[in-house]
Amino acid sequence: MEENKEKLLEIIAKEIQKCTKCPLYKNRKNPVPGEGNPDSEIIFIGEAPGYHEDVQGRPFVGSAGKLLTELIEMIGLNRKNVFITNVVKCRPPNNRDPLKEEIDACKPYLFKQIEIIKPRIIVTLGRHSTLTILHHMGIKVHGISSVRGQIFKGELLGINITVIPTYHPAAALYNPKLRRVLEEDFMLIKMVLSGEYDKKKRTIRLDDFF
Amino acid sequence: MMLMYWLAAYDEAKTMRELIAAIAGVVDEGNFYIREDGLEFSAMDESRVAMVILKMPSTIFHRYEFEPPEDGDTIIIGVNFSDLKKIMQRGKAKDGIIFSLKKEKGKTFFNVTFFRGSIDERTLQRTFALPILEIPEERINIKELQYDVLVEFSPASFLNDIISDAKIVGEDLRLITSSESKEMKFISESETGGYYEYTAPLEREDTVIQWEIKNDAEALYSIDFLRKFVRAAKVADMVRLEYSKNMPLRMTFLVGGGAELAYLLAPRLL
Repeated sequence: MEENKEKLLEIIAKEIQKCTKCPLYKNRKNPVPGEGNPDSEIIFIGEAPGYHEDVQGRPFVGSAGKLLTELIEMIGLNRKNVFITNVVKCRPPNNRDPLKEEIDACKPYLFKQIEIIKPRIIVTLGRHSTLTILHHMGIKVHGISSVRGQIFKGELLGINITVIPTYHPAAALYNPKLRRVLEEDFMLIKMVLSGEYDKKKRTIRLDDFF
Repeated sequence: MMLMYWLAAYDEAKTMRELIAAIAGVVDEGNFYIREDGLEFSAMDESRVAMVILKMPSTIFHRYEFEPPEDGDTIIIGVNFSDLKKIMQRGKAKDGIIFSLKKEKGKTFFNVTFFRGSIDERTLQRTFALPILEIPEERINIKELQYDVLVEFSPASFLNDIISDAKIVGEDLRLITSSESKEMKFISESETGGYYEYTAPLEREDTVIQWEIKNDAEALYSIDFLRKFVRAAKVADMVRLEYSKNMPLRMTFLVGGGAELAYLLAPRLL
């Protein structure tokens, strides 16, 4: 099964290598399809590659990546055992935010990756990945700060999934307060992964009562 | 006949400022529904765990004028609360306030006017015009939930200290009400065993105005949301708590003149 998933992910990665669906391909050194364990229960989704990612063709390898790796290890996981990717697979010039049309052009790759890996948990890092995933689940949100640290359960691409939005690690690099928030959110991820969260207590939504 | 006209004047801008801030703490945007008999607002927060419901009868305003739109009996005004809150903060202590609509170049604006003096003889008038947003209508069918416990406290700020105390210890507030002991307990616990408890004897507590227990009930609610809600105590005379086990909490702030600001909060399951 793992071998099959690996092959399917390689096919997607090759498609991304050749992709010209949006203008971002023109300036890329390398596209960054994502990497990690095809059988992972958890996918971390960032925004778009930065300078270092573009040079190396790997996700989260700059200073934000270093922080992400630390956070992943803090909750007892290993980078190699999870899957890490971005909503947009090519670097936007000057690290600007990806445009809506770039996200729209690129998100089918992300969705294919999710369909292949079938994770139990998706951690969205930052506004763009949070909105992309939650909107696709039919959950209307406008920003990251009001939904971070919350748990959204629902169906995505036919998979029962738990989405945990948090800040992008880059936002916390120079802000110790945000780093603490990220650490709290990662502890929540740990609780959800271990099943401790469900056993302990569960916040339900008002929709359940109306 | 003049169509779609609305003006609502209130002597104390400060009260309106606090009401808007109390809504803005929970939701980013939403629609006001303006009718002949007053205005209503209801919206859920983005995580759909909390909801805010404001009802202001026309009689609460010192002047209220309304002409319905051509196609119905309701004027809908979509508002960004972060922008409205900023405008409301510009009101000074002695200012009165007028909400109205203004049409300019085919666009309708939500006008907020601060004034000194009386509504008829205004001085130092300042007007902000806020673009009206087109927010998709989300008709939330709010079922009238049956609650096992109802307790009314006055002053409304009664809960503020309890919630601030509880936050020092934990993330959730446990409400336990017993008909036998005739008391309501507010408990917060930390992961590491820290503990906070406040007991309100319902018969002897001089802040309890009214209480009713149909069935004993214990429930758990997020302190972070409760802290946002109790901001409304600044302008309310009384607060009513209604809840049942594993059911939403309804916290209603009763503002003088018949206005109500209510919050619903989904429970954390026990």
